[in-house]
Amino acid sequence: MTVQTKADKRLAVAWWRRVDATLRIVAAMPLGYAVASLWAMMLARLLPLFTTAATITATLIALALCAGAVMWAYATISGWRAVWTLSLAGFIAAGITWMSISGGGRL
Amino acid sequence: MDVDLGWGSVVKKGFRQSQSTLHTWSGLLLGWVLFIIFVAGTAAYWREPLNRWMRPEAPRVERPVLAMKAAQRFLARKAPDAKTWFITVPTVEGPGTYVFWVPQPDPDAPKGRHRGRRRDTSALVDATGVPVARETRGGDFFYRFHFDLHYMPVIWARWLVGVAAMMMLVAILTGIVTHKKIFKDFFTLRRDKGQRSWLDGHNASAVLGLPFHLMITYTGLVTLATMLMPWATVANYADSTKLFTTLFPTAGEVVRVGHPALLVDLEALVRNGERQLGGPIGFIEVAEPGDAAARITMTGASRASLSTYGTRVAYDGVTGRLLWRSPPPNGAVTTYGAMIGLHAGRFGDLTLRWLYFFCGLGGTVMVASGLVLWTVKRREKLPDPLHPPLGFRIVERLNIAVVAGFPLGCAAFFLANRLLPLATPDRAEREITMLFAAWGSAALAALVLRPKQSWAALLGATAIGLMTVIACDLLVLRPGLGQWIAVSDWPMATVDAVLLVLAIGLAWTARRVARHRPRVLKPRAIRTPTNKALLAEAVAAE
Repeated sequence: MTVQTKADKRLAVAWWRRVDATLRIVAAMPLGYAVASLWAMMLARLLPLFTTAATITATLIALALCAGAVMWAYATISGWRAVWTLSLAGFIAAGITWMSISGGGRL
Repeated sequence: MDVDLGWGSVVKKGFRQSQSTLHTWSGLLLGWVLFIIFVAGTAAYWREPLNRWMRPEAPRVERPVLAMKAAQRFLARKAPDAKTWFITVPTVEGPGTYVFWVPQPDPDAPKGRHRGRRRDTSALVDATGVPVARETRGGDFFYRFHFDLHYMPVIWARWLVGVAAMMMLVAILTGIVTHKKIFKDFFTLRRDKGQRSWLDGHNASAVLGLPFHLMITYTGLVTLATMLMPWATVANYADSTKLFTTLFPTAGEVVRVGHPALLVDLEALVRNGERQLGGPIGFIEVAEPGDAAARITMTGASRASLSTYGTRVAYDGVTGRLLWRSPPPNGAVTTYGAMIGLHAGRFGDLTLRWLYFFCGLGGTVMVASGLVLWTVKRREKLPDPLHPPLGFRIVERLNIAVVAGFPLGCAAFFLANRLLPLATPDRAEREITMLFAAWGSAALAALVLRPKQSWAALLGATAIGLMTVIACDLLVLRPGLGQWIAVSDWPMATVDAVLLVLAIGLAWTARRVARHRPRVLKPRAIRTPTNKALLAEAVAAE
């Protein structure tokens, strides 16, 4: 009985590891890029600079953010946490960008 | 940090461990692409000297202004009625003046017709005003290949290169995080110790050049930023061309009036432009040459400032009157331009470009040793070393096909440049075909032969190829290596010298690989420790 449970546990852990790895890859590659892109949009709207300057500065920051998001996806405790924290960061930026753009002022 | 997976089991997985995993896989996945990007980029620091070295018949440009006037005469003869001429002002480093022109739009031409080959509207004119005979892409090939690759649509290539660069950035950052004793590793090189030596070699090449690697990877991403990360522009501009007109301001369209008029002499105008911009001129655009409305726009040379966005001036093409000056760029534009400038290193003098070159070599060694380290680390843990799993064998063979194969392709490219008859049709493209044919054969050899054999054979073949190039320059080519040394034409002789050093290094490495007896023998003491020796050793371990 105990042996059975141990084997079951091992299988379950192996399966969870696979799910975890997949979630982290999803969080790192498509999601990490999407979050960096949304932050680029938000920063471009919010940075208190001339429009060209804000656009370029936001782009430069977003490239570094993208690498940071990938690292976070692996550093955080679980794949799930990587997915939901990054999604949340993306939604916040998306919301602020949307409000800002619907307020007008796009060239 | 212990991770609870929610099943009553606990998997140990610290921060450093997680970043180490990321380092391994982000480095490996596109590591082979990164290797060829590094090799091509390193060679591209000598783009203009290579452009000239691969066209040895072109006389040396002694006085760039005279060469440029010769190019103006060539254009006046060849395309007097063009819509626009573009002239790259020659330098003493290059083979002459690059010119291309846009013909007047033909209203009768059927729509969508192919505009004809680029060769029909462009030329490389030597210092005497004659098109250069030896048709080749020269150093430009390495420059374009560095981000456009070859045989694939440019946009795909740039995305691939961009993704590889982002993975490189992640690999560098996680590499730093993973390091426990970054300062100590700076001075550590344990020789003939298998995996430890490989790790030390990888660490040394990575840590020594760390500022360069970090800078070059990030600024590399910046050069592709308009494509990789256009979203900030999307957020601020409904029409993104508005941003680009701010980045690249122009004096506006020129409307042809139809009265012929003589174009002003470019030499005097360039002198004036240099005074206006406070530095050398790099690029000249002549709109409607031969028409009364002609206008000449000059851009400051990229070697004149850190930022690649040179300031510009426009003149009336008939009277030579100053018409327009580009507005001074704002801080962010300058920062952006400076990052691209830092990447390309065009602002640097010779010393700085040597530094760039050696750092590039260091980066190449870092990527190569990292790729080999992946196999070395895993080999020791294999359950059955005689029958490694498929994934392991793929990485092992790909390492040989790329790390030893691509340099062989480059040697074949140089050799083709020397050996293909000058009259060969499509000569420039043939040279490139030779590169890929040699590289393809190398990949095939890596697939067929045992790893140890193919490492030695390919490294040795590359050495022989480079030696043959040097022999050609010495014995066949006229004017050749002997004359260059006799007339102190050092830029040309230096290319051969560098190739010779590389050939010797490769031959020595090949010999070490071939003679290596893994492990059983007592490690031999060798006096000069280099990364190449480390490469040889772990290569031989295969």
